[in-house]
Amino acid sequence: MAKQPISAAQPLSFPPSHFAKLAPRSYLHAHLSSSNGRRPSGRLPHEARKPQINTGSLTHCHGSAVVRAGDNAVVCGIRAEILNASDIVDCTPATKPEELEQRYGTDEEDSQRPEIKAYYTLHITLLVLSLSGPPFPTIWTALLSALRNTRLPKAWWDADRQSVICSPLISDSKPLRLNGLPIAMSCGVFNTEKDGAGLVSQNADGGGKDGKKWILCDTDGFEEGCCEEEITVVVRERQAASGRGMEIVRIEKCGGGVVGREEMREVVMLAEERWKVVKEAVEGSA
Amino acid sequence: MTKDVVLSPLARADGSASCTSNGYSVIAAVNGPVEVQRRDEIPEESAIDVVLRPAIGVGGVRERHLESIIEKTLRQVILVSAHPRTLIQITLQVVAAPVDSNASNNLHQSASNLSLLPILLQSSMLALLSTSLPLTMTFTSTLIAVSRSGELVRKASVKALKEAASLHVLAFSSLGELLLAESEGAFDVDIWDQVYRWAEKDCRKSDLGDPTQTDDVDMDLSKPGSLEDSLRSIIEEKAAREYRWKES
Repeated sequence: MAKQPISAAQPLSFPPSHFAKLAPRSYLHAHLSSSNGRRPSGRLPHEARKPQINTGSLTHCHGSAVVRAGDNAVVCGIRAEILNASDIVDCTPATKPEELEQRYGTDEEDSQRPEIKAYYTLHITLLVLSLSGPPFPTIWTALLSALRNTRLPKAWWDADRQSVICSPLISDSKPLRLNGLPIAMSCGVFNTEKDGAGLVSQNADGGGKDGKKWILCDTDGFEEGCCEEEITVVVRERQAASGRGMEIVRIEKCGGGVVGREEMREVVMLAEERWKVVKEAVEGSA
Repeated sequence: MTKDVVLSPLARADGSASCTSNGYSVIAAVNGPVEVQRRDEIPEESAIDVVLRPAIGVGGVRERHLESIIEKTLRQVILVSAHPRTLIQITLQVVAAPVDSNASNNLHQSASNLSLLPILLQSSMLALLSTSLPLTMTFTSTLIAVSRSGELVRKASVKALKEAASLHVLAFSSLGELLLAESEGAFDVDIWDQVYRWAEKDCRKSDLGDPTQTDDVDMDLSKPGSLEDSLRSIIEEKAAREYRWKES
């Protein structure tokens, strides 16, 4: 076969978006191991996105919030309804009203009365409008913002009508009392150790046994597909009795063994920093 | 724990194991690699399907959540690239749960489900070992509760679990990595660190003790054997039984 002059042929090239689709892991690795070490989204590995929060946009709810973080968008609406004590049968409803009151810190007039006639029941509806990356932190932020936004009308028992009457005045309504402000952060771990030499062999520093690992904060949809190991940490400010500082309320980590003892400390530190940012956003929106 | 474990109790599954510990009893069965449905097919790896059935009723959100945790963990353990375009099916049936546990009713969806996780992981690991699927490593998992006064409790009773300030499930691979960590309740990094050391002591082979650990953990050196030791002895027994024909 006669050889064609290779130099005359156009070199095979394609835009970065194709590269990302064809070899997502190599694409992410190429980004992270470049000189500025930024992710495809332009963020640094530990940089999280600040959520955009709008509250009170749903008029039929007592409290609502729309939260966007990157391509994640979640709507949360909270409606309070009155549950008469006489309507409560022993085994239903699923959650006893006392627990509800305790858990959400519902501040209601009725609880101060000698005889409890009715409870407020909060119906919380969450709708994920668009999803890209771990949904939990965004959903949780939406729920928190909506709870902070919720105002319950003043309610009292009318003995003549034998029913609960609510005040129509907004000035009479009361906000909910929340028990701290727990905020979730999720991270992904991008690990090149398991890709055989083939995948990233062009780069001297990657692949094979001594592969590199990156902890990526607040992963987006593309990065989530490349990360097997995922960590979600929920932190809040310590409640009064046990002193100042931060405490962890939840850790979820599965799908890999990169994050051990030291790394977990680092992740918790990141979550505490994230807490400040999200707290500001949540409080700023109210 | 050896006496609470039965390897291959089910004749028709490719591999199975039943475990009893702390009031829970679980049977795990593994079938695979089998043919996979087109939509679940992964071109270069095998799909892993975990099905968890509770002791009473049908599974709900809680079971789906546990299934996803187990699936992600087993994906690290099974050599998924050795069987591309196949399915490995793992079925876990909770046979008995402590009478007082929340797992028996579906009313409290938010109730803790961590106490069930270690035995589910343990029994699926043993079921995998009872098949001949190639694995990259083994793992062991344990539950540690922290009481309100800040004391760490192993093998906590149902009552202790209910009153605990925080619950922690950790799993360690045979390579010493922290494969899984699920914690709930209120705690801080220092408590978690201590839990980590206790759990590592419980799970990992006892002669691998870290020489840098000098504090309270050393008290527990008298403990009979770690989970990994008992896993080893189970496998030794199994191998001895299977190679009996060679010796006589």
